[in-house]
Amino acid sequence: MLLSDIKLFSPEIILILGAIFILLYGIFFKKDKNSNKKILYISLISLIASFYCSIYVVDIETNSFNNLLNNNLYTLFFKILVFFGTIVIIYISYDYLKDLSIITPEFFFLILLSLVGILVLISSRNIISMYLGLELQSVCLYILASYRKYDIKSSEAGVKYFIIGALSSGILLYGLSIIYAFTNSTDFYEISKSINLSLQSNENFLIINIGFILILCGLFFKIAVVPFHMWAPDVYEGSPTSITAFFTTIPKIGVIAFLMKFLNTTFESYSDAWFQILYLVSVISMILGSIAAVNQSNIKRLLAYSSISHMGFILIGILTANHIGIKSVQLYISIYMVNVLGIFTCILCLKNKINGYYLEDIKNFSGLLKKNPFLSFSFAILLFSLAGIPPLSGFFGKLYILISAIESKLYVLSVIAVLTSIISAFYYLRIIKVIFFDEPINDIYINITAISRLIIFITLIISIFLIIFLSDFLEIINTTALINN
Amino acid sequence: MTNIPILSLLIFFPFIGSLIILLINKNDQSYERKVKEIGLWVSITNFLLSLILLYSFDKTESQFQFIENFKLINDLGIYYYLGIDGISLSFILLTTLLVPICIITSWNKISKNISYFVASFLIIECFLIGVFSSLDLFIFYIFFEGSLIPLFLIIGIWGGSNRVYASYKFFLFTIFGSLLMLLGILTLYFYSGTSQLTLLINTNIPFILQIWLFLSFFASFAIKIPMWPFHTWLPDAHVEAPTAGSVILAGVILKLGGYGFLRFSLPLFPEASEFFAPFIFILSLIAIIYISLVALAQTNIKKLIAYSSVAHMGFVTIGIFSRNLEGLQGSVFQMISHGLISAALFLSAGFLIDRMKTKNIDNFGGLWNQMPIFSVFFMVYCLGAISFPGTTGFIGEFLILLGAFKINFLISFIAAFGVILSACYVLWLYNRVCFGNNNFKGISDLNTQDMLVFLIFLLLIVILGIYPNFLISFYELSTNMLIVN
Repeated sequence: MLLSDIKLFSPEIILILGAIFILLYGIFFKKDKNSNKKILYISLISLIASFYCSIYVVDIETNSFNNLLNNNLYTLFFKILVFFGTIVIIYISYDYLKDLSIITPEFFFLILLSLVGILVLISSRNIISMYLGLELQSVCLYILASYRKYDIKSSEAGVKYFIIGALSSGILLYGLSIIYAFTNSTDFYEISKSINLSLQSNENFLIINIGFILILCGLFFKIAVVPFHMWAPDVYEGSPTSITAFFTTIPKIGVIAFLMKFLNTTFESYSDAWFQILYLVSVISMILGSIAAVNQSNIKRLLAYSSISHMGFILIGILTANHIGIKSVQLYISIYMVNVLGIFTCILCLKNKINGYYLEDIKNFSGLLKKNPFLSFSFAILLFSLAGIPPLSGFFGKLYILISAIESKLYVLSVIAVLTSIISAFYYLRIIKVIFFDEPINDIYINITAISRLIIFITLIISIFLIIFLSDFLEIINTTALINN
Repeated sequence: MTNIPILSLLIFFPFIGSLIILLINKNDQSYERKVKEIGLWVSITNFLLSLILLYSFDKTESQFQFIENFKLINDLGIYYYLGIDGISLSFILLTTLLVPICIITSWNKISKNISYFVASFLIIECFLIGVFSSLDLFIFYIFFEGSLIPLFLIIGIWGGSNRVYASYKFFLFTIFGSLLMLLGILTLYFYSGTSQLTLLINTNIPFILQIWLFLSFFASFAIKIPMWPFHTWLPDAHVEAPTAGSVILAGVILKLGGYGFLRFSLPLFPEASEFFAPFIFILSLIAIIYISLVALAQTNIKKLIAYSSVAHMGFVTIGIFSRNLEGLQGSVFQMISHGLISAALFLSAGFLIDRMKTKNIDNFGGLWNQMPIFSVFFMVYCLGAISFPGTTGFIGEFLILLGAFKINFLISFIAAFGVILSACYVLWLYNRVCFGNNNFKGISDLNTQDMLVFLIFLLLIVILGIYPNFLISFYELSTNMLIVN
């Protein structure tokens, strides 16, 4: 290990040190009443320091640890995205978990470690680093899912997620080992070369294909697309809400970033094979995700299904495999993250006045308009944006995905995408309907802190005014969209 | 005059006004009054601005005027491209006229969340002016679809008892059409490489592609106008919408469809328009005859007027697709005239419903001696609706029949029956409302504020009916250009 490797790995090292420090601090200052607040600040400081390092200290276009990791602008884009997301989630989690009085230093420890896993996954260029990153984030998430340990649903979610996650990791690992066995390399760049060779000489075609499909299955599990989606609704429902917000955004961004890089560089020569797989998965995810969401009464389940259909949408951008497709995925997933985080922040403000539970059942949102028009209109605008109504930001994500589909002459796919977005508009409208049109059933207690107000306000501004700075944002995406090995 | 971006000013002034309204301190004593006053002044200022537009409009210029053109999104070549011709000018004036009237008429009627109500109307105004002045397909689409959100909320929050169903139906119908149009726009964009209308007019699109594109645009415009099999959302939306919502819906939103046909379908897909013309004539004739008969059977006053709108819009589509000078001029005139007349009729209906607390026509009666002034005004509007000579309705329908006569005697012959049928249902409506037994005692007549609004409509209907050339002279050259192209 060289000093330069440490420099290139500094964001992750800072996060790991921060996480360990938090754990130690939690043990030694157990009696301190304000320890959690201090830990929140420590984790934020380490996040920001790590964020700073990943922009200013890490050199772009470099490999580190004997080509285990590769940093370029593309990975930097996704890293910045997950940093922002994690900062928001740590803030909203702090208030939420404190309110449930289950806040412990371990929470911050796990979130930071899981972020390290995602960062490693995003910048990995080797089977080993990729698998390590993926597992690190998954293991942290298994624990986070069951964080409300006295709650049956939360424990169930943890166990379910663990079993399914372990299974999918197994499948993934099996696929990776097959690839390794027939290419004699763990480096994605080397793998790509030997795959091209074997494709030319038509050797081992079938077995590499099988390995490749197993890897895809493992990754599909992680982003919860049909037919590997069964765990998502239960896990999302059972997990503490702020952690559901984490599930729906950050790990998915990591896996999508990796998947896109993996398909477009390492397995570029197999594009015929994965085009068909992704096509099918995308179509059924969009259809099932939107139809199944229609009848959900729990907002977290609904968002789980809606995220399935959004992932289906994103796969369209990946499978087109043209320049605009990759850009559209980056645009779509950033907009998706902003909207979803805004929506979860809104949800976390709502409590039942009588028993103090957080509201999850959609029909209990009725009468929110009377209580707090600002919150209800922000909620509505974020939902409209997620449904893709112009001029809100969600529309531009959809627009770019559709542009990439039409450019690749995938007319049938784009018609399906459009039809499913009409269905999804229907269930987003249902939430808006309950908030705005229904008579109040019971009293809502609104617990909106200054920070969550700020978060909602910022997400709202981004949703409404994205059109103005879209051109600049696309410029950023343009410079980061190139995938290099 | 050319240096001031007057169109952008027209579009964004209401938007800024709505932001100011949303930021007013709600704890203020005179809060509601302030909101309404700001809303009114903003919309009146916008009307005056549009009068400046009218004054500085060059009638002798056949190209688009007041052009603003700069790149909005660099990499796609989406332009913020605005410009108007005579047709757009007429619709912009109609919009800026109706919005202040909407705010005045709901002055004392709406008390729930007044700031959001007024803001919604200003935002609708912004989107509508945007639709009428955009010359880039993407910008057009954004404005076109954006008007959905505020209207959905207006119907859903401030509407009648069955408002949820109506607002859903309205939203899902329109979004279905619009998304299909979006696919059409994207295909067109990739075929020709530009989304600017002025460049698209000169591209030759193969016939088969034209057919598909025409259908995708048709899906959106036919739902919006609405044409016969797609009209079912309209009666529900009208019945449930608050009076001001009905006014803006009947007055301007329905015209988006007709405007779209004129601005995009005819010039971009000339051969497909010719191909589909007989089909559209048949649909329009069915609309005129069948929907008139349906209107005859209505007992709900708002539903009757809504159905009459569908029938009148049937004339508009006949006029547009007869593709001769009389037909086109007549259809633009008919749209403006219907915008005034149906807005006035809905205003009267809303006025009656507010006082009598019933929508059933049979419950009214004998109003002529209770409310003589109202009865006179209502009489003139009804005469306008049956296209009585001397009102704007006559000019529009006469020109359209003349245009249709040139194409086919039979179309004109059948459509003329629609005029007779409209006389049946409208006069019968008037008969049941104003004559007969008096069921209500002590109903107050129009006050000065109402009278002012009613007088504006009456004067416009009569003056433009007697001297139609004032309006026609503005768009004469624009319609000529449509035929030349």
